[in-house]
Amino acid sequence: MSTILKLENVEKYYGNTSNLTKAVDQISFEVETGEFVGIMGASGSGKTTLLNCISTIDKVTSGRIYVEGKDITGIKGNALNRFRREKLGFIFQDFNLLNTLTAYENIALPLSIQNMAALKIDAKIDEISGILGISDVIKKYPYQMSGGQKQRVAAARALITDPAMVLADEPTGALDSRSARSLLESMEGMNQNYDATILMVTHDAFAASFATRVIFLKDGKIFNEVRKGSDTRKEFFDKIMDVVTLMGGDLNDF
Amino acid sequence: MIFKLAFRNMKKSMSDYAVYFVTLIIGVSVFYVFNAISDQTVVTQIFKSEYDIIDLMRTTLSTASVIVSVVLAFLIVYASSYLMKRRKKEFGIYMLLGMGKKKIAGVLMAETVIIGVFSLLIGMGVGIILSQGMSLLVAKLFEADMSEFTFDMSGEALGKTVIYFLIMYALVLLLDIFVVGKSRLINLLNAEKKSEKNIAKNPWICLVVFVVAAVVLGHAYWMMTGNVENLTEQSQVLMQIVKGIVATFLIFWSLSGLLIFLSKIRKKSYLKGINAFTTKEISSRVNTNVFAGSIICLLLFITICIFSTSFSINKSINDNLNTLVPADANLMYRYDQGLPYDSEKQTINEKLQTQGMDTDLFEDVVELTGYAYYKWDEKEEEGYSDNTNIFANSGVIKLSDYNKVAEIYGLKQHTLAADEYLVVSNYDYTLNMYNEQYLQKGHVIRIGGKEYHPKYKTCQDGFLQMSSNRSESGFTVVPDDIPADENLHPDCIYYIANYDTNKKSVEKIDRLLNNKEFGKKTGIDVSTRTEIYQRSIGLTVLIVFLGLYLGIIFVLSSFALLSLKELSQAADNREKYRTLRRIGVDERMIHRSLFRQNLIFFSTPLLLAIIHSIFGIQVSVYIMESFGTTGMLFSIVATSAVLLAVYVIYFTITYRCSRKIINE
Repeated sequence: MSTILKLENVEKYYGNTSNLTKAVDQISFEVETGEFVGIMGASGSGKTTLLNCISTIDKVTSGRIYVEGKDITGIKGNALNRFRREKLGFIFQDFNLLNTLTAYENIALPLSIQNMAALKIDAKIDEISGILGISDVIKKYPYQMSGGQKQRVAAARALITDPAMVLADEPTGALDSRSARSLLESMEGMNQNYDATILMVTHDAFAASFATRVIFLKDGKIFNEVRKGSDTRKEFFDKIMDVVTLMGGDLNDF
Repeated sequence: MIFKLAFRNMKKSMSDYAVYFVTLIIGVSVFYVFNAISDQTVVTQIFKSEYDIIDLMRTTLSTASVIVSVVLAFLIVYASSYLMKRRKKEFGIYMLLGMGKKKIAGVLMAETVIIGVFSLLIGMGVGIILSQGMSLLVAKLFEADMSEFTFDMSGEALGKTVIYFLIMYALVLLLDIFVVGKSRLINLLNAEKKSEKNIAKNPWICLVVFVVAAVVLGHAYWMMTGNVENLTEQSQVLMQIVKGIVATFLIFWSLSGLLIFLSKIRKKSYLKGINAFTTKEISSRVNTNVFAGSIICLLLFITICIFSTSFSINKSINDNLNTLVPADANLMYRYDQGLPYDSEKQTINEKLQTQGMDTDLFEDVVELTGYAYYKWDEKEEEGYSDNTNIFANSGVIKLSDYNKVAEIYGLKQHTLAADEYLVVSNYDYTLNMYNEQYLQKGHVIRIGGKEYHPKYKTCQDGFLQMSSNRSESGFTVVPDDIPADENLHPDCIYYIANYDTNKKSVEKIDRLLNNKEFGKKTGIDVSTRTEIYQRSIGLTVLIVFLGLYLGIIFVLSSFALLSLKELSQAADNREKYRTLRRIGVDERMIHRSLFRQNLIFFSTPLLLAIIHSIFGIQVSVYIMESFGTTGMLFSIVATSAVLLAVYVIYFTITYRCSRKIINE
């Protein structure tokens, strides 16, 4: 297995010298190809900032981020866009589907901006919609779908380009528990059957238990790290809850 | 404090205010220009002797100003409601922080005052400059003397502009305060989170509707152009207009689905880059603006027609005047029909001298007798015409007399053999009648037993009486040595002259001749160049001004409306562009997509309006045939120039601002 993502002493500061907030403070870790990594932490712990830095939406203050061995902190302009569309897939909490496009067109968008031939796009969408169970809504518009269906369409859009990494920011945040579970199972399936590398930010221990490894953040620093190994999901969930308790109540300091 | 807040707010959201501000400035300046027009030196100079025309102009433009201010008021209210929508969250935060509604009203009032003062000052400044340009245009259009440039400023128009716009601003302010007052905090704060439902139409139904609409429209076009001669009743014409309006509406209704349909056919290019996104955005924009799009299209259509015809009326009247009014004065005395021809023998020259006029002030004088052919019957107490004869409808003039007239008028002079005659006319209707019923058949006339044949198979161009349009219904020219005929009677005397411009007092004579009392006293029918010019120019000036005024306001409103719709859409779409960026779409691609959306949204109503106009203008050409249609090219160029200018201004602002909005 090769290292797909490597962070070296990544820091992200906000504010000026007199009033400095370290949102991300000296974080280093590595992610192997085919891993499903969860990043947990309370709000304000820096997890979304970290994800934004990895996804090049935000710039790091110092440190290096390597994707497939290439330093991405130095890329600028259109090369950045190109990096995003070729290497990354995104899933957002509020889906971010384009409401004027059908599910099919939403999923096709990342491919069409890479100028893939229409026939090939057709075949790929057929495949992925089968895997994610959205074949029957493929011609519908977002407003005609349920939250769970929307998020699976968004997942399909993230995965369609076979990205090096899928970045998911609280993907279950806007879903009811049943849809959340079904989405997480889909993501797990993508990870196990298709070797997709997934980086998921969440504050929900249940969601995190679908990952193969969970990194805990507190005040911008890595607090702990748990690996699933050969545990069942229930055992892994209990381990995660232990760390959460250790970090302080329900992710809150008293 | 409130003023400071208001000022900062506006500075911060300058791009939001740009359209509003530009619209106000153009509105104010146009309003001023047309209200000041009757006070302009060049206009008062043209009509120095005809004050009633200036009065007519003033009242007409004042009435138009009321319509214009209503249109502008709607536009301003719409624009400000767009701004209010953009700023709902801001007001929500003010309220959350405990600012009372009165204070918010205070902020709004401060803003309105700032905008009002600036837009009025700049607008009137621009207006004053534009009205100098207007003077030049008027001088050019009506060939007035502009050797001395005068800087004009009308206090009355300035005052009027201020009052009208203050009322409009007050109205807007009241409405804004009302909107903020009745709104609930939760709605203000969540204003940006509104999710839009976009019901897409079935592309097949759209295709069918579009084809039907195109057929209906095509039929209406054909009825109004190719088949126009068969449209005899007003209800039929009205029917075509209704068909045009309905078809326009249907086209806009079906356009969104049609776009999708077309793009689906070309699947390859549809799934290229973000074309799918662009197409769907345009389609949804068109879909939600069916009504507005149709109205704007029709408004533009009306504007183009008003513009081009008002310009061409003016142009052709000017051209007509140059050829149809070649002499300074043209007098005509008709003998009383009830009397035998020999009861009156005084010439017009003698009549003028009897009135104490110095006829030495005339040069190039031509005086001639016109004859009429009718049988005189003592018992019937009335003459009657021999209807089989061409003379039934025309007077008779001797050749040498006609050639003298032709010389002073600059018309073609003719020669005739001893047994020939010819007919002169320039009025299409009678001209065709002479050609078809007499001349082409070689109609023979008899005078004193002698036979005459037509020299030409068609009427010759010319006239005896000066007039502002082509209205010489026709007369027959015969050789000088016609034999005596008891049925050929002297009917009238024509007197044509130029003023001797070396003599100062010609103006006095002109005024004397133009005096209506003179005609009444002497029974002489007078037409002078000055009188014809002023009468016809006065009318055209009025038409042109009115057309320009309403046209500019209509175009302005249409494009401002399009622009505001586009901007508010851009604001609603920010999230979409953020998503696109995250997916990795290049900035350039996004901007190109935005440009295309703007371009198509702006151009569709204009394009359909232009197609409408191509046929609509032909109809107005048909209606104004008697005016002549020489000015068409000029008017089309002028119309396009005005349209293009407003289009470019609004398109540029819209594209720039929407780009800024989606980059926020």
